[in-house]
Amino acid sequence: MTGLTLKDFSVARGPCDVLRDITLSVGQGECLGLLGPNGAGKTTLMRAALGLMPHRGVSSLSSLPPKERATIVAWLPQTREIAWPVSVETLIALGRLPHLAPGASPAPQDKAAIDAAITRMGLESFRKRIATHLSGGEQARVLIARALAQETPILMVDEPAAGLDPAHQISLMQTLSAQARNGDTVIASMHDLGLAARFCTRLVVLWHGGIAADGPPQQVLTPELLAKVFRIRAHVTHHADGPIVQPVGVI
Amino acid sequence: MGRALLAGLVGLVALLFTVSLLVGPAGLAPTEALLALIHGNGLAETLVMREIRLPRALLAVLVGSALGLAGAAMQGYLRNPLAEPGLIGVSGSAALGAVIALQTGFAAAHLLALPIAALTGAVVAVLIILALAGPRGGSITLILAGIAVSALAGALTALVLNLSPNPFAAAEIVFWMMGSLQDRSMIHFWIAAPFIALGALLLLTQGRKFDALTLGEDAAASMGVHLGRLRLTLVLGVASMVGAATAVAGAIGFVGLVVPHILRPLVGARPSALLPASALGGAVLVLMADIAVRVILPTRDLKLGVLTAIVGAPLFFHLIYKTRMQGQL
Repeated sequence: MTGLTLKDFSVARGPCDVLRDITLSVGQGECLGLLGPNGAGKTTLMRAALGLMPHRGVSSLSSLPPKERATIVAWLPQTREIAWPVSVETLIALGRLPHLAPGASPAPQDKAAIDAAITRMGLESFRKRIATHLSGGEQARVLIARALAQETPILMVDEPAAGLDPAHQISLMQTLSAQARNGDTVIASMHDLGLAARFCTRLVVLWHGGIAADGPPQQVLTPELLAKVFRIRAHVTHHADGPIVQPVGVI
Repeated sequence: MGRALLAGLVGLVALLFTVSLLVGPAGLAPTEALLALIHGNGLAETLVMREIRLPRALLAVLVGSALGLAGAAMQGYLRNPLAEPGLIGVSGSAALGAVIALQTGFAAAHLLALPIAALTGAVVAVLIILALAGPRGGSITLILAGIAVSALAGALTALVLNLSPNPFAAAEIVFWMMGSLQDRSMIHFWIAAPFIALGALLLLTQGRKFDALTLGEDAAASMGVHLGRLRLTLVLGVASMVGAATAVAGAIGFVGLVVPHILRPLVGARPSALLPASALGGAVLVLMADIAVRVILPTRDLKLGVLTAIVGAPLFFHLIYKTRMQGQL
């Protein structure tokens, strides 16, 4: 069974719990938007669920051996780090490391996965460019392509749309929701309520260490919830392209 | 391109190794020298070749490759082109062990006393670093622990110099610390070789993990890299190689810093490809430097570590300048 299951999941930072007794199940085909104000624990939830930080309770991912987990879930951290001036192609190829046997060189299916990821993120013309010489938004797309090249049934991304121009934000969200439609599980933390409302199949709002709301976007993003959790007023309408959420003021 | 580079470096090592065998104050003709080395006629020529020049050339390859590989591994792990093998304090501690052996007279009493004291210093440094850096934790705690150990080793070395009974003892210590391959025997080679081979084995097998670290510690961990284990392997590998290199050759600076820097663009900046290339590049650099000290000032005993620093420091200036030009500093 793939997807992510958390049961009685708590994460402590120092003496106090950042997350308390979270129970959450994300299945195949879901594109889950993880929402919440700054410091609500979105990144903490994902990192701890992956087993990258200590936690109490059950996570279906953190209990796996690290090597096996790397073939099941790809993780894109919020800090976009590219340490060395490697080519875009080389960087994206790093996504295939969990699939390579020790000492083996990339097989045809690895090359196919790399090519597919490059095409999906529209990076064909960047292939041979040095990754560290690209702009911040371009680097973000290259790093997303790395995560896609890992070809895992679960994709966990931390604020993937941050720093992208509007066109690339929309095409990124289309890529993520297409992944989900193909049967994968996508979990993305987001701040842009409009993008989350339009492209996610399900939204989970974290607040004060727990889940304040969980459901389809139009059920979750009510004026009451936006006021209570985000302290904003927003204009919410329904359009042929999906729900439109436009924050208009602070409460 | 990677294969061609490695083949070229191997060829360069072989060429410089041969040149190193042919350079020396005995003034042997090249063919005569090589025949004496291979056949061994029991005469002075064979003695010179087998007991003086061969260990010197072998040690240059060994020490150079250790420093180059350790430097590439440190830079790969820390994701910083300014990292060098001495950063974790092992070379300073090995030097302290050697200095204590020189000061107390153990070094004069037995041929092996000095390298063994230096290796002991390296082992103590590793234990302190591992205790300070803790079982969990990233690269920052490792750097801080290394700086603390280096500082302490430097202070204690200064104390030993300060308390040395006469200027000759102090001069001996100072000259040893400058680093040299002169007057080493095959015993020195056999002491250092196992440690350096072990360290090379530990580090060369970590290439993919260093590659994954290009994406940062969090992403690497999510890709199955056990960060704690990698750090332990790095410390043991670097300490084993650098401790042994310092024990037989003294402190030779800048090789571990400069070699990965020069070779990085030639391997497409991939940390895994940089490891073997830097091992060979380090051997090339130390062989060249050790030939140069014999050719430039044959009568003045120019120290190897002095020459590598004189050549290395301007290259380091260049590195800083280039980094600044790219807007990264």
